[in-house]
Amino acid sequence: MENRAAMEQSGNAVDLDNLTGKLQKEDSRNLRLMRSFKWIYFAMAAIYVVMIVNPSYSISYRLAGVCYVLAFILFALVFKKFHREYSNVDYSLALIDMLRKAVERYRLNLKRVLLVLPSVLLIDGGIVLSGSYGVDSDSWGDVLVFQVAYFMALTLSGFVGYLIWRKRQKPLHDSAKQMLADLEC
Amino acid sequence: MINKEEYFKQVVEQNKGRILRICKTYAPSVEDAADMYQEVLVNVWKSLDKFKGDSEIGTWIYRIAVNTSLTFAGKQYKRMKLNVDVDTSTVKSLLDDESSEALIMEMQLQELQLHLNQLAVIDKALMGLVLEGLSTKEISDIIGITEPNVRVKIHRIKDDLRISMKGGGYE
Repeated sequence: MENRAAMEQSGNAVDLDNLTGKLQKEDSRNLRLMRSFKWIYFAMAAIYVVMIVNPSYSISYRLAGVCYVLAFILFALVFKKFHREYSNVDYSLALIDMLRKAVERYRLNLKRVLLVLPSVLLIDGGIVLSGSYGVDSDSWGDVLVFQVAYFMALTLSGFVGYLIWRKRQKPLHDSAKQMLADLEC
Repeated sequence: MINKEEYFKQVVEQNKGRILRICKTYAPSVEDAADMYQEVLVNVWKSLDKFKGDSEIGTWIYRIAVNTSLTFAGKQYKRMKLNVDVDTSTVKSLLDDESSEALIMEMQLQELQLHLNQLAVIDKALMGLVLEGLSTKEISDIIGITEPNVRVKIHRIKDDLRISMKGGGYE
């Protein structure tokens, strides 16, 4: 009975005007954030378009520009897709449907890695073509060293990403999967 | 034309009682229940645009409350508890035999709560809805499994409860 009274009190303590104000702020903040990211990526892409169209630059430099522009556009699209997936969690679905979606959303998804991979490879190509490791240079050994360093950094980032997934999302994935199994048995 | 903010407030005011009850039923503590209540309101706000009136607003609210509570449980899986502090007439529905009257006694209620809390999370969710006095049809709409399946699951859970209660000497 005491618990119920305390709960009723906490329910009354939630100021709806204040809460709706905060929720509206959060909605517009998310919208602004999404727009900002989209414009940052597209602005970056536009800046690198200069590399492509400027005739005073070498062919390899202009090709690097193409790589960067494509990479940023792809990043922008992938970011938009991921953001939409995470922000559109529908809690009004039937429990079994919500659990299925949660299992899908929180699983370690190699397809998502593959979606980012073209951008990563394009940036690598852009750096190689525009940097001191350019195809005009004779220092192919440097290109190789850079490639090893670049892919080691990527592997390390991937491993850190895996650790973050294991700590934050795997427990959610496992519990959703367990609940789904309990429901379907 | 009513705007989102006014509609939200109206929906929350009308369903405050059931949201509070669901939160209280699933939360491990009063503090967690208050957090859960706020989270349910946030999710009601987020989903409000998607409500098309296909189901009763009450059932829709239950879905959000149960889904949010279980997501909350996902974060604190092992701490999830089912707090039986409800109308005794719904508690009786758990063990629908002649001996049910005796269960209303405080000791037996505690014993029942102990056994309920040993159930799997999904079974707790189902029993939480049974304790709310919802019909099989409403539970089926909220959980997303067929009505016969709901009946089978509830029957199975009741049987398990009955067996474990008998073990405790509460036949």
